[in-house]
Amino acid sequence: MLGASPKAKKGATVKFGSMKNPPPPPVVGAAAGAAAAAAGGKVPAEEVWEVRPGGMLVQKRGGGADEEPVNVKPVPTIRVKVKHAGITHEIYINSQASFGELKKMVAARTGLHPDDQKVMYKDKERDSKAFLDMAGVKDRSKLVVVEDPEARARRLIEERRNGHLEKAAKAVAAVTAEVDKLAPKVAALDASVRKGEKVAENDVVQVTELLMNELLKLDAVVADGDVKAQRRLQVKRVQKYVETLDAVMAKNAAIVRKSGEKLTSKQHHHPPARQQQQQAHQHHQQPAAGQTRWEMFDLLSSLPSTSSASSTTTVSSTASSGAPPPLPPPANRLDWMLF
Amino acid sequence: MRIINEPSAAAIAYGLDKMPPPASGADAAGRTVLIFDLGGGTLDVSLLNIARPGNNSSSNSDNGSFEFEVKAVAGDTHLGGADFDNAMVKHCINEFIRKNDVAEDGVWSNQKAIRRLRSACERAKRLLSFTAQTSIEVDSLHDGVDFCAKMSRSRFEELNKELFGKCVKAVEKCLEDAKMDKSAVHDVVLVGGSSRIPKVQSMLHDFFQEKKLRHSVNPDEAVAYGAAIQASILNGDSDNADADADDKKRVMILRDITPLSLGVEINFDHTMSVVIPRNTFIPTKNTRRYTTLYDNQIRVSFPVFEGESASTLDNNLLGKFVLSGVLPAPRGVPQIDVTFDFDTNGVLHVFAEDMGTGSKNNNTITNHSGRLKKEDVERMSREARSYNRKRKRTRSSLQMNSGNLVILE
Repeated sequence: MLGASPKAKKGATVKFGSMKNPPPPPVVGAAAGAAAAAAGGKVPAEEVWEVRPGGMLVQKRGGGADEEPVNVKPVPTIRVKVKHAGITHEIYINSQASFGELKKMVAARTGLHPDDQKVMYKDKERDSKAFLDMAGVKDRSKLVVVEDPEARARRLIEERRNGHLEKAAKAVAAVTAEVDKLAPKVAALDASVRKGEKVAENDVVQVTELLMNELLKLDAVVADGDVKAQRRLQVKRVQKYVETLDAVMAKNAAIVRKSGEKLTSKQHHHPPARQQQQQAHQHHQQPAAGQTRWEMFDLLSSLPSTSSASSTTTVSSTASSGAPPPLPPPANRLDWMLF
Repeated sequence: MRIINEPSAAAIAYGLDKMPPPASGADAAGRTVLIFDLGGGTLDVSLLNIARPGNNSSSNSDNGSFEFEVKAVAGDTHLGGADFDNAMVKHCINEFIRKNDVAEDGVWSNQKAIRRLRSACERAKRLLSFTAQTSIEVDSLHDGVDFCAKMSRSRFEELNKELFGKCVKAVEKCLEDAKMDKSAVHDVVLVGGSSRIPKVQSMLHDFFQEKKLRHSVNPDEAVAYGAAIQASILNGDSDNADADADDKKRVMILRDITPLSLGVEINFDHTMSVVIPRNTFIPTKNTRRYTTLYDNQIRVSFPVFEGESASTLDNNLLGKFVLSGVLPAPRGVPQIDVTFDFDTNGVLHVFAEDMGTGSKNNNTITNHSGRLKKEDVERMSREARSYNRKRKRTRSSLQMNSGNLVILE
């Protein structure tokens, strides 16, 4: 016990001596003195140990000082000088931001599209995804922004291509809407003929003509990819309707012929045979159908034939006159794409 | 107020009437202009001479009147853009048949498919004026089969080689009729939508030995544009009183010629008897004597035709009238004078007079420049259906006569 106490005293003495040497010791000495005063008879040993923690405490305070700068770093906004076209812009930006974000801020100042910008720092082009601090950009760093003509051209071409696709899609959608309007008429005519009712031939011709016009509009659409598939789908649909109307026309002709034959009071035995023959003809060729129609008109007066022909001629001339206007736009579109 | 002919209107559109006579040529001859008009259905080539009769001195040239003299007219009333389209359609259908091994009759009888194909070919034709190559695509053309083909400008020109050759021949014929050499032409004016075709322009350029062609005014509008200018001048529109006085002095003298021969049908075999031959200056008046075909015939029919063929079947019927009151007599005895009076506005008056009895009849036919009227188109459509029913092959004649409307069987 006595031996231990002399050692403790010696240690304390040694520490005092070492602390006296450096200039900052006065503060540390005061702390050590306070600790010694707090200690009792046995406490000096604990004081010794605590002194070391005190020393450790001193070290910890140093660590705290280190932490403060760390806390400050996320906060600061650096000031960057960006030069473009002879004009220097001062931009305040987070030091951990990317060059892409810098480009956006530059675009706000200069009007140059972000994708068209090339950012040069220390004579190197920087990727948009790189970060400012990683690249060494700091407060008051100087950067140069140059316009990239290749990127600009690429962007404009892409925009134009998308514009064309969008335009083609709209055209197909417009035709689809028109065909949707005509579909009920086709269904109505078909239903009437199935019931055995006679329908006005002019109505069938008119609807057929409208559908053919929509088909010509579809043919004029220049499209790629999905839009092309949609166009093809609509083409099939319109063709199906037109074929339905052709069948309606044939059935209607048969109905008219039947009523005509009744009027002329021909034998009952003949009609079925003729119908079968003419149906066979219709299956083979359209000219046969044409002939059937004309034979029908022979039975009736010539007036329906004349009016029908006139109507057809008028409608077709209308269609032909309507065709030229939509042509120029496709020319312009293809004109550009081929160049 | 009067009617102006198309070639003069086209020349006015380019201000050729305001240009001074070329120094190299004889001043008295004035300026020689060739108007090449290739539209959708017809080709018209006119050779104009624009002169200032009377005072030719430079100080008074601005105040002088103008004389538009049509030296010669040539062309083809059945040649135009529609024919180029047809050639392309035929080529594409043959291509489609060859590729897909489809029955030929089936495709040709599918009128809707042909119509879609014609629209696509017309679009391609327009594109080939700007690019060297394009594609013709039609979804589900026939029996659900797609059609896709490449078309280059050179192939287009090859397909229509004969038609382009006809254009040059028309120009040559026009110069020949006017008895002029091509070097005497000072200006070449292009009119009509089809004159935009590069091959047409290069042919004329080569033919006239590098002379510059005038096509700065929209070819579709040149004639209307020139007519509007002339209307403004005749109306005396001017902000300046002095200019107004000058404008009133600017009298236009138009000298036109008949583009096609005019005559009547005689005999039983549709013979064309020409009363006014082509390239005759108008106004003109001509009379020829005819007689009856039957004994005791008391009525004589006079169908008036226009065209160059010896058979009226290939010419255009302009009108028809009947002279009645002929005294019964053996055939060949009555003497009937038929007079064609073509006035300055291009209106044809036809008179018939029986020299024995003095009975008369007449008809008036307005000029329609050889283009079909709407009624003719409708009539031909009905005839086509009738022929189709009777199984008569008249495709070629219908194609020739129907002009802008091509009826395919």
